[in-house]
Amino acid sequence: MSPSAFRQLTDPLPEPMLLIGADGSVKAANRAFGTQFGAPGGRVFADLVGDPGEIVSRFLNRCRGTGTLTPTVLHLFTKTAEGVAPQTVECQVSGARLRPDQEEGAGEALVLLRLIVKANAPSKFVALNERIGELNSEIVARRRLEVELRESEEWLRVTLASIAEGVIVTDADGRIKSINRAAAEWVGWDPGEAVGKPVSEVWQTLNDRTHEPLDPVGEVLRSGSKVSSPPEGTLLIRRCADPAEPVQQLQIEPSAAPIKAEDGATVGAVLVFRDVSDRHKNELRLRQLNERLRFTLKATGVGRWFNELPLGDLNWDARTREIFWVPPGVAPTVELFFERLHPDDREATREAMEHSIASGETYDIEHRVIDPESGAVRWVRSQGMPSFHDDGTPSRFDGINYDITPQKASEAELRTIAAELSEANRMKNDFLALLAHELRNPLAPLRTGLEILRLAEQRETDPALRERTRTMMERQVVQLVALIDDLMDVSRISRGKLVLKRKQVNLQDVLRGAIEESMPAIDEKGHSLVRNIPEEPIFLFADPHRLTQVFSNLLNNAASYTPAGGRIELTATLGESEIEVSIKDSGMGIAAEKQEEVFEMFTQIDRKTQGGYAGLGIGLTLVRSLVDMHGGSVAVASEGAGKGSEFTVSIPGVSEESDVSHFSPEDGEVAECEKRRVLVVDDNPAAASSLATMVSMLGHDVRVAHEGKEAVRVAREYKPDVILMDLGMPVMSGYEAARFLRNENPTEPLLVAVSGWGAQANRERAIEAGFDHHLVKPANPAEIRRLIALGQPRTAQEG
Amino acid sequence: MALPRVLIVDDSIASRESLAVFFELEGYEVRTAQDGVEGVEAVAGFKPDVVFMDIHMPELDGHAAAEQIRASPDGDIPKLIALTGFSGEEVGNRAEQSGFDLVMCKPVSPDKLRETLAGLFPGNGGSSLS
Repeated sequence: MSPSAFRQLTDPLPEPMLLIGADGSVKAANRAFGTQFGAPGGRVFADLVGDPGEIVSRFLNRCRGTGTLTPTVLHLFTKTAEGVAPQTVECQVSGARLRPDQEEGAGEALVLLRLIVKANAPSKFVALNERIGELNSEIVARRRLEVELRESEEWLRVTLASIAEGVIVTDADGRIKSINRAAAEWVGWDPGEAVGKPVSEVWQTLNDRTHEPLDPVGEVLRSGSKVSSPPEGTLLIRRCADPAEPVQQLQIEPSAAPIKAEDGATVGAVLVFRDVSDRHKNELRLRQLNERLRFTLKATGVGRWFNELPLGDLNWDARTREIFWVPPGVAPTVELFFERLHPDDREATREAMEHSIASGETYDIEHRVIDPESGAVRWVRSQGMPSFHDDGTPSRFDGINYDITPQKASEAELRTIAAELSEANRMKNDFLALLAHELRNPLAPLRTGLEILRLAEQRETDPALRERTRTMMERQVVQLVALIDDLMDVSRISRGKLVLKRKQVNLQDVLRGAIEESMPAIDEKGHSLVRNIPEEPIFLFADPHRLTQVFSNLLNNAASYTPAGGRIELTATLGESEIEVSIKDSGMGIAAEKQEEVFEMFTQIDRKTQGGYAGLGIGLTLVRSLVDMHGGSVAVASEGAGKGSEFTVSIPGVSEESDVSHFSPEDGEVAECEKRRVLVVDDNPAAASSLATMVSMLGHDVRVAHEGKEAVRVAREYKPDVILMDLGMPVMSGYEAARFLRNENPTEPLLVAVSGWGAQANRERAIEAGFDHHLVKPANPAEIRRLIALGQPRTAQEG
Repeated sequence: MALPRVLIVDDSIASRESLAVFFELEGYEVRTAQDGVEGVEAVAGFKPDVVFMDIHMPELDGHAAAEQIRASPDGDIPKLIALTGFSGEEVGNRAEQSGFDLVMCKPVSPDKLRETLAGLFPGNGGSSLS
């Protein structure tokens, strides 16, 4: 027993008591001892008279627990400011042996002495003895409690020190009563320093998002109920001893709870928290990664699939469902998957899947998916990988897929282009070989001819031979030149450089010229030419030179591909709105499947492989291009190989609609106005052609365009004085073209709408679009003439 | 001794006639034919010593005509010379397969023609006239 425990127990007792050590030394005295023997303001020192050790051992031997009173003399020294006053007191003592103190005592026996001054009545001792006995057992009980309490406190201390959570305990005023090591470290305080401080001084926290200060302890003490971290997170600002150091912030997750007394009153708070900075950072990183992944998937259109093995119900994300045309509410299954696949791809896909799951190799396949609704087909590339249980059995089959239809389309397109290029290259090489052939053929007689001329001169032979040779050579030169001209024309047309010089021409004149040009070739082969051409003039708005070229090429073609002594028939017929010219031969004919190809350059080359006859495709290619440029068409008919061929050219003629047939320049008044530049625009070739013919016959310069866009383009370059334009046209209508032109120049050229729509509304709309006049088809020639005269020559004004 | 007989087969009248005149002036006996069919007939009837034949002709082309001439059971087979506007190794191989002895590319120079004939018929015709 410690002296303080002794005092605690014995101070309330009225008898003076001492605590004596085994050696007889006085360890402590109670308050009653001081009151009886001490002096005011001084301290009393007591000593046992005689051999203290002997007294004590006597007690120890004799008195087991309660002893009898023994007369003893005590020497007392009372120490005051004046000095030490010795005193001797005769008294009876009784005492009790106390158990050695387990903590401090190292086995030292202690004796509690009760002093009874001689003068006091001995009768009190009995009662006192009983009281001491009770006291003794109470001391033992308290002692046990104390040990238990200390043990449990130790448990708590060790526990708090060792746990990872920070724990702070406050009293009802929010002062820190205890703080564990983890909490002290995180708040940056020394535990000893922190205890007793208001928690608000040690604990600095903010809402992670709003940065408003947080006070969970205060809240708990006010409300008496638990408070947890706001959803935005809590930021702990750590105390920084060195102001130079950067402020340290920790992400924490605190919760605070009240400590309640038995009566329910809040007597303190417990704050428990942990550092979640790392977790917070990880969560943030995970969120960012997820964000990026989502973006990547969205941007690339990649869909994901997660399948448990064996395959049954499948787990597909929204994109994969979309790829497989799975409607909302339908759960994808492996059956549905195979059902959606193109039947031709099912087996290969199944095999690839089984192989991957069996081998663990990557699954990578391209298959088609069909929309059951529309039948639409998309190409999909799917890549995946199986996962396995520890025992090696497959557990999952997960992967991605994406639409590769566009890639497939471009691949196919590239393949087509490559094939076309390679075909074009082959054709070009064949063409060059054939070109050499075609050039060498006329060169051979030229070279021989030169030698003949030399020999004939040397030997002075028949002059007729020389003349014949010279004529032959001339024809070869003409043939060579024509060949080269055709080549150049085809090249110019393909570059868009060939411009027709159209005017009013008579078809008879054109055909006469063509026959004249082709006659040598026809005669050479001994063919007969039959002409079925109407007597009356047939007027066309055309380029006479180019049209002559068209027909002479067709005649030459017929002559070439017809064995000597054949028959060629040239027929011209005047249809309702077009003129047809056909050239029929009795030659080798053309197989049905080759009939369209003959107009493509190079393709006649193939004929040589048929054991037939070769020539360049230039002539017919040129024919088609020139006829197209005239707004016409050319077709070939043949009953097959060996049955002869018939080429028919249709060219828009002068339609009756425009009344041009009843109008001729001889009607006079042509020269009544200066020559104007006129642009005729109509998507109907016949209408354009007839109107252009009429304008040309009036003595004006004419150009033709076939829709609004072309009209705008031609107008910029040609700078017409007057534009006669149809309203309803493809690509760009007359209204749009007029608006466009008026936007560029509000007054010129003179815009005349020539339209089949006569309604007042159309007229108003035309005027609104920028037209100056509106004529209804068929336009009266006199009206056309009058309006053209209204157009001011732009070039003159500009000059 | 008779001069070698020359047959010219070509669908181009200018080529055919100019060569014919040339060879006549050179002193050969010349016949012409305007396609393969006529050419094969002329070989049988005229019995030429040498045939100059165009390849690309209507009715029967040079290759087919040469094959037919080679396959003919009767008498001596004339020297077959292909004359063509095409050039290149393939053309030569193809002509050789058909049975031509020689391929010449148009336009052939008169001197080359003389040399060739002189080579085929040493001591005869052209060489003495040149």
